[in-house]
Amino acid sequence: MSIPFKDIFRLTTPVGMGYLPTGFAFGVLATQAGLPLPLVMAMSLFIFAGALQFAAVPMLLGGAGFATIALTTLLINLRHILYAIPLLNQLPRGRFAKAYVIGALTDENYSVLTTLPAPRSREIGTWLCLVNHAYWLLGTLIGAAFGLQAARWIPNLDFALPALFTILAIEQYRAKQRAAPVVVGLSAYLAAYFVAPDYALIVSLGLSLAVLLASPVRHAPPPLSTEAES
Amino acid sequence: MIDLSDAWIAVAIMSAITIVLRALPLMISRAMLATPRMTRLNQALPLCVMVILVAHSLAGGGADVAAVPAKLLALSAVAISYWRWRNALLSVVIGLLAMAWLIPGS
Repeated sequence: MSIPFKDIFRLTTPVGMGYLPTGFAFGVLATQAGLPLPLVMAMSLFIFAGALQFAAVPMLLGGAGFATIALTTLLINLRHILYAIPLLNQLPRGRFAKAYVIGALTDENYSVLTTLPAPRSREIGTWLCLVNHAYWLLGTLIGAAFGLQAARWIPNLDFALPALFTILAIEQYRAKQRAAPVVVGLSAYLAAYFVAPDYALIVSLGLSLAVLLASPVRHAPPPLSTEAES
Repeated sequence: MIDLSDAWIAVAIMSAITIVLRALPLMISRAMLATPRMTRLNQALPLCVMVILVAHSLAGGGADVAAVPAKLLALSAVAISYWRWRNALLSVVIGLLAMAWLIPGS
């Protein structure tokens, strides 16, 4: 089977346009803080979770204990528990490919994979995750190696991340054509922000999950596209 | 700064917890995931999560609240341009230019 480079390029470009500058910003921040390059690259290779990586820099600098680091990781990345659920029936068949895709389920990979039909996701999901991972690593490497000067020329690089999330939200809307999740997500975040601003992310995700699970099923939903395959 | 060997252990801890969290759904029963409620959840959740991440990246984590209106305007430019042309690079560049224009000297 030939590799569909055109599709892979088309599907990974939006993520790459966010990952390159955000990874770049992380590389600059981490090396400027004094972390050695191999450690910085290992963080992007093995953790592969932007928000946690940014949060880890001051923890490592400040000598935070392992328990604090573990708890912070749990709180920041707890939302990732939800990500494999829609994808369980459309993961690659190979053991290593499946393990890699699960391990690489960032916010962005999750968003891209959930817009694809199951057979397509199974076919190219591993490639998409690998290419997006490469964008993240490349951004980190460039930032770590040459970034300090360039960061002065391009202000607000961290704005690439909300821009990327906006682009992915638009892709999700185009794929599903439903506005209700937008209303639920925004309402939940506003409520969580005013009630528990320090935990707004995880509280709003929990609220949204509860609302989506509790709302009545009015009509028979479309069957899981994956069920026909399995 | 933390001792270098401890820093490597810390990175290993963060990696392991992140991967375990991502893999936990593999232990959920497939029958439970096939219910209409879960099917609908799977349809709605990704967009819901992305909207929350947009909101959080604007206002959460100790972000400068005074900059939120400018960021909202810049994000509107990103959204409109992406909706119109579907070019991610162009939209990110437009967003960065809008930020540079709206918050000069940042």
